[in-house]
Amino acid sequence: MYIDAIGKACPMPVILAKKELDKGLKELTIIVDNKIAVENLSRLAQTRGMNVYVTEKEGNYEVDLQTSGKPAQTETMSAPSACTSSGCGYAVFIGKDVVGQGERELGENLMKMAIYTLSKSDEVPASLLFMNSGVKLPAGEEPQIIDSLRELEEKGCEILVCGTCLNYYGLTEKLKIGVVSNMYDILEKMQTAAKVITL
Amino acid sequence: MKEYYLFTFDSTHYAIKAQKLLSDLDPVTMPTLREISASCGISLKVRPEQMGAAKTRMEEQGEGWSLYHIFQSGKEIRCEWIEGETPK
Repeated sequence: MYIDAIGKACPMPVILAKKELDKGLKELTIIVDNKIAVENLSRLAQTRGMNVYVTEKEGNYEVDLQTSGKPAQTETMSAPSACTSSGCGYAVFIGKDVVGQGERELGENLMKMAIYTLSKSDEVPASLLFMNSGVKLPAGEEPQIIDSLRELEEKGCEILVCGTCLNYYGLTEKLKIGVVSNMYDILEKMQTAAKVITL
Repeated sequence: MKEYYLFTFDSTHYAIKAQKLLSDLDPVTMPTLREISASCGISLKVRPEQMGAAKTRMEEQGEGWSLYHIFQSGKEIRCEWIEGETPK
């Protein structure tokens, strides 16, 4: 099976691949024109226990997904994570670059302190999910935020950053920490967490 | 044992003003430690090597601040008051 996804923006290449894999396909080649699509497809392959081979051809990327026989990857949370019947650990959703509503200066400081406090916590979140203007934090110039996010990542917190949002704000190249992600993965982290905290 | 210095403030506005005053010293903005005050507050954490410069500048231009020396070993935190009013 061969899919031409050149010119298709995130998350279309993943949607197209997922649709075919859901039909039970064991092997799939998809050609894309950007690295973010390659990363997203690689993660899709990982979650399904498939091997992935990437070949660069004239500025495009040919991504081969092949069934490896390995079991599909289950949640790889290394962060301390309490499990309940609804899921494991907790996810923190950050949909804007300030905490709450009100004066921006205060909101920015509250966000800085919230991320700092999370990074020093004994129980770090299983995942930190950035969307909309929240993506300005991992792609921004505030060293304290980047340091705290790095500390969280070192403690096992997974940092997912919405690729559509980075693209919208023209920040894709400026991302300093975290993985460029998509709606599927971000929602999946929320669904598999025992609770989701929105800042 | 980790140690650092912490400026606490009588008001959030003083804290934000000090943040700008000390910006080139890269202070870490953090919530005021529970050991110092139970109320919500913004504090500025300063590395020992930056303390001299930070204190001089605060003495010249800062308002409504207190300074603590913090010693942290795991979860154990010891705060030594150095200067200024003790927060309520």
